[in-house]
Amino acid sequence: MRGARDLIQYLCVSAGMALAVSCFLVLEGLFRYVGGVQVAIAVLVAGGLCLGVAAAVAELASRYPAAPGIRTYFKQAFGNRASLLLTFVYLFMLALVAGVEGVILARVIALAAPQQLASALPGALLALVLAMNVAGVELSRRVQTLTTLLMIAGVFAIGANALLDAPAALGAPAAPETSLAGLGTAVALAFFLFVGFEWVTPLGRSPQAYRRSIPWAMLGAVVVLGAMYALFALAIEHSGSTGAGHSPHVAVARFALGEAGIALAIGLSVLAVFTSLNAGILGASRLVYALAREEQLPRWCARLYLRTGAPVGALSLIGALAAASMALVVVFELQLAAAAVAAAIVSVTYGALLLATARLRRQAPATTMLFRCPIPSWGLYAGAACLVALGATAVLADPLRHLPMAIAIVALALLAFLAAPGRAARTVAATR
Amino acid sequence: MQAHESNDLHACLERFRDLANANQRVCKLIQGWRPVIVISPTDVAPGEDAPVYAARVDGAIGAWRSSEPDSDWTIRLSAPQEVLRQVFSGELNPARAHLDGSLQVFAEDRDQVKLDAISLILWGV
Repeated sequence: MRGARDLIQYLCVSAGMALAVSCFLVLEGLFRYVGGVQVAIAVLVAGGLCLGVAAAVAELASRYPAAPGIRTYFKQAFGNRASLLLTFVYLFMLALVAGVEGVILARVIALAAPQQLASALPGALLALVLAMNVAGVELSRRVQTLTTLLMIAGVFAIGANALLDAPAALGAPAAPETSLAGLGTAVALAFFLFVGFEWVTPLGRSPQAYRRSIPWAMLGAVVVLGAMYALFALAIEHSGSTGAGHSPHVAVARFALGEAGIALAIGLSVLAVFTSLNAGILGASRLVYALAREEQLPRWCARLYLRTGAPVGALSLIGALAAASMALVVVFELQLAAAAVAAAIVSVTYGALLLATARLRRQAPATTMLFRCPIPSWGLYAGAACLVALGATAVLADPLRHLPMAIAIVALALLAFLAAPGRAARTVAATR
Repeated sequence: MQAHESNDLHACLERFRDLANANQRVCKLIQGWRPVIVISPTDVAPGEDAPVYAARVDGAIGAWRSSEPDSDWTIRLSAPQEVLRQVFSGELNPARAHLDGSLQVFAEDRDQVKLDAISLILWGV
């Protein structure tokens, strides 16, 4: 009984990290490259690749249970420098996603509230999340589980209602012609829908959790997310919401449930932004704190508020990055480009995780392992190459808009890397 | 595993407790924090039972006992004895050991940071 409860909680943590309101923006954006059922297929293909990544990450997590995710895995597989650079790129990507979340929320709220309130809400929500973290208020696992289940049920309900109960809408924009390149781009961008499912790996409560619960939770989360977004893609097509811009989920909900649907979609959006901001800021701030303690970031990033033990230095840095990202995305209307670049970074990061798994198998073959990914090493190498290629595809889908942003993120990460006081530190060998 | 190593670790944990409880900043940090800290070394010789040290925190760190108390709120640390000894004597940065994968910490994020912060306050490492 406890095992099943733990599995559901881990699954909800994993899926909850990935559930974000900007996912609907990306889902609608996929219709620019392919039409109808192919969008659902692209989502399922990306999900299938993420299943492989989840299995590989589960193997890495079973090697280093409770370790802080990518930083440890990459450090053991590729050494300190490569790990540090990739971790900084990932952190900047998270700030970018926070910016997109804020902007989409503002657009959704503007459908039902005055523009000024809608514009102020994302910043207020960010401030609330930061204040909660400083005050030491954390959502319990039970609350996280309930909110995630509520969101998943809500999205499934809206999607299924739109597909089953309402006749297809007329006058939807014409779908683009199907091409392999279009499908490839759609698959590459669809990676955005799964961002963060692997963040559950540091949260195991015992070593035994890494044998079954966490691996199955990640795989289950990817399956649930894939099924949910594929269904919703079909609902977007069926309801003729492909031109709904930033809020296709609101358009689908209105189509399926009328005015009540709008309220439901807005409620789910606020919940999704709040939980994804909270989880993202919590996770990212802990990673920044750990990097500062490791002397890879300035010491002030490890400053604490003693009364609650909150890492205020790290929270300030992450909060400032998220706020700057929100401002930039709003002013320059960068939401789609930012989501595409985030998808590319995630794709490359997942490719690196596959590579790390294969490399560690060779460098430090473990005799007993809590979980072993069933993919052979050659499959991991092939998967890594495929994911890196998909990352490049996401950037090149609109090089004029995506490439400068991708270069900017890598340049920022490189600057942080060059400024890192301890970047030359030697890595403790994985075999020791 | 050698018996003296086990004694060393226990003595080291007791010294850590005394030092932490005597430090005002640590006392402020752990005010209202009530987990059970469980330490389990991983380098156990075949046929031997793994030793466990557990201390209840409630305003101060309690005595280290060799049995695991029944509690839902636990912070579990696993590592070879030498790593644990170095971490609890201020010779090794716990965050670095954790990032390197040599120290496993099974706990909520907030609890991990608090535990690490004790080391930062006591020794600045």
